[in-house]
Formats: sequence, C-alpha cells, structure tokens
Amino acid sequence: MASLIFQIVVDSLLLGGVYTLMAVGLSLAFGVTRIINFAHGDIVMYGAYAAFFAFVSLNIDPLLSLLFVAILGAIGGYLLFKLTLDRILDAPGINQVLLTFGLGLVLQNVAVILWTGDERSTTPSYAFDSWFLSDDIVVAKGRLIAFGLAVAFVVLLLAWLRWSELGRATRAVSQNRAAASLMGINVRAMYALSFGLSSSFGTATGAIMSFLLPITPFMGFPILVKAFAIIILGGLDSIVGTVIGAFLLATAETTIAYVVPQGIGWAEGVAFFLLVIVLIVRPTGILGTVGRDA
Amino acid sequence: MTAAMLELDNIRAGYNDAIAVENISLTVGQSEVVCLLGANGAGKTTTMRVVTGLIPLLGGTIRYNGEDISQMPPHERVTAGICLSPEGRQVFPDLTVMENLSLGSFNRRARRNRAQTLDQVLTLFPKLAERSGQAAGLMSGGEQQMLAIGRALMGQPKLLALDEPSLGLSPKMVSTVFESIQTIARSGITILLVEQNTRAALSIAQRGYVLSAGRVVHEGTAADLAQSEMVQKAFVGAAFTKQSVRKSRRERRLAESNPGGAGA
Amino acid sequence: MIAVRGWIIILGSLVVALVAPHFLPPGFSDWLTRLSTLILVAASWNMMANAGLISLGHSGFWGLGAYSAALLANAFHIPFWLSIVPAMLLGAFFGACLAYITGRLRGLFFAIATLATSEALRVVALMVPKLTGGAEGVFVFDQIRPDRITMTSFSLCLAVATVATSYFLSRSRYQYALRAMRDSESAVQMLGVNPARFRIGVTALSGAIASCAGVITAWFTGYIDPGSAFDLKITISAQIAPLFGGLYTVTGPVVGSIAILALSELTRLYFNYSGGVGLLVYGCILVFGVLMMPSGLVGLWKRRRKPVVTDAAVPARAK
Repeated sequence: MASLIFQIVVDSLLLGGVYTLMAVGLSLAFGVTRIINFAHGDIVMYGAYAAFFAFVSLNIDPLLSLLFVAILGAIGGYLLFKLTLDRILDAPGINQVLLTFGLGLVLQNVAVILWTGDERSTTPSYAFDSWFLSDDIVVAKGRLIAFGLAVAFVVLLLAWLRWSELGRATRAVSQNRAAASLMGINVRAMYALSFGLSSSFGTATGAIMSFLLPITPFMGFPILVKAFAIIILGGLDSIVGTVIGAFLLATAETTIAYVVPQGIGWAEGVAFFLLVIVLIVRPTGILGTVGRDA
Repeated sequence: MTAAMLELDNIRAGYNDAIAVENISLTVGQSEVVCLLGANGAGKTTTMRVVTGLIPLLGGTIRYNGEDISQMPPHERVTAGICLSPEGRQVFPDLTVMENLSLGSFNRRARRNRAQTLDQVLTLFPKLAERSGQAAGLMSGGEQQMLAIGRALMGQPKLLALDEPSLGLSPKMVSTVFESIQTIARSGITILLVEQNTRAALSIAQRGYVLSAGRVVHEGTAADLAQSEMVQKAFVGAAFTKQSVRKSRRERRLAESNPGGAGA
Repeated sequence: MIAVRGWIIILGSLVVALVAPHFLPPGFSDWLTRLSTLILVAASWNMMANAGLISLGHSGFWGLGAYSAALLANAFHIPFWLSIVPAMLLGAFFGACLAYITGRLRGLFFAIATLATSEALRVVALMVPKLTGGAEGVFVFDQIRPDRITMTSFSLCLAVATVATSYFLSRSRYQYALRAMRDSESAVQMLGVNPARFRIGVTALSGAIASCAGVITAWFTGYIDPGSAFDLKITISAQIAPLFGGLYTVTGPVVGSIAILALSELTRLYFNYSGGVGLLVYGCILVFGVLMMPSGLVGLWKRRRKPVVTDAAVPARAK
C-alpha cells in the first residue's frame, strides 16, 4: 500500500512536469492576447514529428533536436500569428475561436496527408530505461528527463518574465494593454512575440513527447483538451497556476489509473470531467483573475 | 507663446459610432503648461486619448513639433516624447512600484538614461522609493497617482499629458501632487493638463481651454480664465444643470463600453 | 401573407420529402439522408449561435440520440419513428442541464465547457460496456430496421421540420430577445426578459434537434460506436455549414450543408477517400471564411468592434 502511494506520487510528479510544459505555452499566449489557441495541440504534434524525422533521418537525439525544434516553433508561431490572427484582432471573439479551430484542422490534416495515421516514435535508449527505487517502485528514465527539462523551461520562462525588459513588458500587456501601449510598448508586436514563444514551448513539448507517446496526427487533440483543463484549473493567465493545475491533473489521472478498475481508460476522461467541474464551481480557477465573461 | 509643440487642428473622435469631441483645435507651446477645463463628459479625456493615440482620430490633424502624427500608433508617440499619465491612473496592479517605473522607460530613448531618470523621479516622489518593492495595486490612490505621474516621467517626456491627476485624492494630497507638477513644469517639460479642479489647474497653468459638449467654448490665459464668468458657467454651473448631467451619463456609458477609465 | 407562403413551402417540401425518395437512385437517397442529418445539426447549432452561444459539443447531442435510439430499439423494440421521442427528450434534458450548469459562462468558456462535456460523454460511452457495448459498439436490432426509402423520407421530413422551426423562431417575438442576447445579456435583462430561461430554452431545443440526427444515423447505418457517435467531425460540420452559408439566417445552414456535402463528395471523388483531405478542406473553409469574409461575419457583430489597444473585454485588473 505504502509503495503504491509512493509510486502514484512519483508518477504524478513526472507526468505533471510534462503537462506543465504542454500547458504553459497556451497560458502564456492567452495571458497576453486573450485568445485561446485551439491549434496549440497540433503545434505540439508538429514538434513531435520534427523530432522524429531528425531522429530517423539525421540520427539526432530528440534532446538535442529539441533546441532547433523550439526555434522552428517560434518562427512558425510568429508567422502563423502574423498571417492570420493579426488580421482579425479587432473582430469579435467567435471569429478567433473559429479561426484557430480551423488552423488546427488544417495543421492536423496536412499531417494526415503527409505522414498518414501510422504511429511512430523516437527510440533513444533512455526511452526504455527505468530505475528501480525499491522492489516495486519504478522511475521511467524518459519521464524523469522530461520532468527535468520541463522544470528547467518553466523556471527559465518565469525568470525571463520577471527580470528581462521584454518579460516585464509581457506582464504589463497581459495586465493592461492600453496602459502598456502608453509605456511605448508595441502591443501587437508583443502579441506576435508571445505567440512565437508559446509555439516554441509547444514544439519543444512535442520533441519531448516523441519518446513518451506514440506520434500520430491525432495526438494534438487530447493534448489540447488537457492543456485547456490545466490552464482553466490554474486560472488561465497565471504561470504558477498552470504549474499547479498540471500537477493536479497529473495526480488525478495517475491515481485513477492505479486505483479504479479499468482506470487507464477512465483516466483519459479525467481532464473533461475536471474541466466541467472547475468551470462550474470556480470559474476563475485557482489563481486566476480573469472573469469568465470574456 | 513660443513655437507650437502640439497642434490639434479640427479634430474629431469618439467611441464606436458616437462622436465625443468635434472641431477641437488647440496648441501647446514649447515649455508651456496648458490646461483643459470642463465638466464631466465635456470631451477632455477623449482629447487626451486622441493625442496619445489610444483611440483613432476620425477627422482633423494632430501635429507634434510640426510633424503630422495623426496616424502614428501610440507606442511610437511615446518614443517621440508624448507620455500620458492616464485618468484612473492605470498602474499595473500586480507589478511592483519599481517594475512600473522601469516600464515607464521602456522606450528606446528613455531606456539609456533609466538610472538617472529614476533618481530624479524618486527625488520628486520620495514616497515611491519607500514603496519600491510593493505591488502597485496595493497602494493608496494618492500613491498610485504619484506612481502614474512618475511612470510617465520615466519615459523622459517632451510633452507630459496628465489626465485628472487630482481625481479621488484628499485635498492635502492634491496640493502635494500639484506642487510636484509645478516642479516638473519648472524643469522645462511641456505639460498638457486635464483637470476638473479648476482652481488647482489654473494655479499652475499659463493658458487654458474650456471644453463643453465636445467643443472648445473658451480659451485664454490662466488669469483671464480665473476671472471669467464663462468658465464658471461652462463647468461649475453647467455641471449641475439637468442637460449636462444627462449628457455626462451618456458619455460615461460610452466610455464604459470602452476601456482604460471612464469619462470623456 | 408571408406566413401563408411559408406554410405552403413547408407543406410542399414535406410532400417532396415523402415522395421523392421513391424515385431516386439509392446512392442519391443516401446522400439525401446524410444531408438531412447535417441540416439538423447545422440548423440547431445556428440557433444557439444566434443567441450568442458557441457550441463545440454538438457531437454530444448526436451521440446521445444515436445511443438512446439504438439501446431502446434493442431492449424494447421501439420502432424508429417513435424512438425520436425519447431521444429528443434526452437531448433537450441534456441541453437544459448544460445551459443550466454552465450558468454565467460566456463565449469562449461556454464553448470549452460544451467541448469537454461531449468528450466526457464519449469516455462514458466507451467505459460502460455493459450499457453501451463499449469500444465494440452496438448493432441496432435488425428486424425492426426500416428500409432505405422510408428512412430517407423520414429524415427529410425531420430536416424540413427543423428548418420550419428555425423559420418560425426567427419570426417570433423571441427572436428579438435571442438576438439581443448575442449582443449583451445584461441588455436583455433590462428588457425584462430572463436571459437564463432563454439560454436553457434555446440549448434544449438545439439539443433535441441535434439528437434526432443521431437517431437517424443509428437507424440508417445499423451500428454505432463511441468513436463515430461522438465524433468531433460532427461538431465541426455543424459550425462550418452555417458559417459557409450564412450565420444567423434560416437558409444559411441549409445552403451551407448542401455546399459542404457537395464539396466533400467532390474531394472524395478526386482524392479517392484518402484520409485528411475532406477535413483539410473544412479547415481551409474555416480559416479563409473568417479571414476573407470578415465583413460578412463582423458586420453582424459590428457594435462589438473596438480598437485593439483599448479593448474593454479585458479591463484593467486594478480597482
């Protein structure tokens, strides 16, 4: 029993790290632009494919290609914003929902056409390695690496937001965009920057996922919904809230997977149930300040 | 009056489809302190927003140092030297006082001299130095007002626009803030001041314009305006007539559907 | 006068719906059945959009309808024409609950809540195999399945009834309240109307209609599983058809349904069923529709437009 609990804790922690990484990009972009990017899951998927092809054809380890993948993601996200969302910023919110939803569909199905629905994955040696902390407590090495990277990325992001000139401007825009423009901040440019950064986090997540999950064109949707659940749990525009939300979701999923009969199947639905419950019970999330009337 | 620094020529602006100001023309000379007076809803804040580019100009032209800036986005106007301390202060509530001030000098021109400007601002408002690590949203209204002015000064303005710096402050705080504004004016910075507190405004301004129902109804030197019956009528008296109350309600509603503070 | 003409058109359409399938080739009546289901979801989605409620959960209603019809047919041998009654009741009840529990949620958050609930239903359908057959799905009791022609007539009649419903809704006094809700619920409140009741009412109606589409599909194909009954594609086509044809109009969803179904047949013809192309086309319609026809969309929302830097939707957090 004790070891089961310990195993649940370990697994939740490790999963929570990956979930944090998955959701933090979505939260960042939302905080600045107040637009929910329904294509975020598909951006993660493209990151995974990029890492996969780097691994298969160039024999580059996903942990190494991660850097390039993140840079490509930043450029891609920036361009995507400039070419599409930037034109309809003044339009009502429904247009932005439909637009990013459509972008997600396009991205997903371009992937279906290019790479079919076959499952793939990168297979670095550490993906299959595990450590036994004791007889019955296992730590998967791949997940531990993912966790470490997630922590590093989130700390970097928080430090950037806190101490850099642009990070401070990012926080200013997310708090009051009119006042931010009075500081000489180009608000639209910050939107594009935040989208680029957000996508960069997305593709980096994908590169890490490439050795944790099967890569398919359809992997984006569950990721998107989980990321929704996490940031809504955490309060949408709070990075710290996102971290908490990620670990809550991870703990809930892991616990159910271990404790409930047929739990792995039910765990898939935890995000949906959590989402609905949070939206009803505490619409502002745990640390959020955004009213849900937007 | 020296060479005009800011010139509004027949400007027209508003929110959504409603026009809030029309045919407003005014000039602000180099190193001058000019105030805009008028009742609630006369169009003062709208004028400030047009000058800083927060709302689009629907007609007329704005010239700054002779250059047409009518279509210039707000952030570029800041770099050009037009800094606003907005109505309702609009500090970044979750950021510290120091972070708010640093953001004031985000623009390229001011960033170079940040440390130096910061010294000057903290000398002017010692209170801000005491509170430097505190979240701005937790400060009192007067302190937030100082922060808003200090933050605008951090941008090293050539033209400092102050929108209702006395709003919601205690009389004692009002005089403190106005003393600071006077100090700023003496340092040679041009000031465009919107105020409902006529006496305080006219005590530091050289010239003024009186706005009513979105138009300039009177202009003159501060001394003239202080004497003028017209001024009394335009906002002190008129503020309490039925018509202007109704009007100001409408403008408040308009402004509520738009952001960044109320009033026009 | 107009009302009389409306009735004539409706009755005429019903006669056509009853007679036409007898004279059409099987392939075409298949197509008409699918068109009917699409019109059902598109028109019902449009009703909610008309009141400012963006649903990303129409596949949930569809799935509820499909499962209730299939399970009741298997357990109690309820015939197809009667099975729409419990399905509609269930869809309406679920819609009402959804609208009730999402209470104050607006726009984006309402959309996410609907998406999550419909996905949650899918997981439930998958995980309660004793009731739903789980991932293996259920076959509808074959002896009581109607023939193809009856099915096509039946679904066409339902589609006509749906369009008639939205036509009468658009001419009723409720229309003003619903349209006002799209602009601002607080404004509706000032008119002395209770917006909560309208939200619940319109979502229940929309849910009832959308679940009919599920009923038709269950009977028509004779088999359902969680993946197909709660397919996100249903939701996607439900929003694309009105968007394409004309948001907030009565004819828009119909025109849009015909257009996108024709389009998907064409892509199927040219790309030979290769996966992805159909949805790629849908995605492109969404993206270009929103980007290239902003006046079409935005024009109707004009009053909400504001310059970006001064967006009131996100006021300062101060105070």
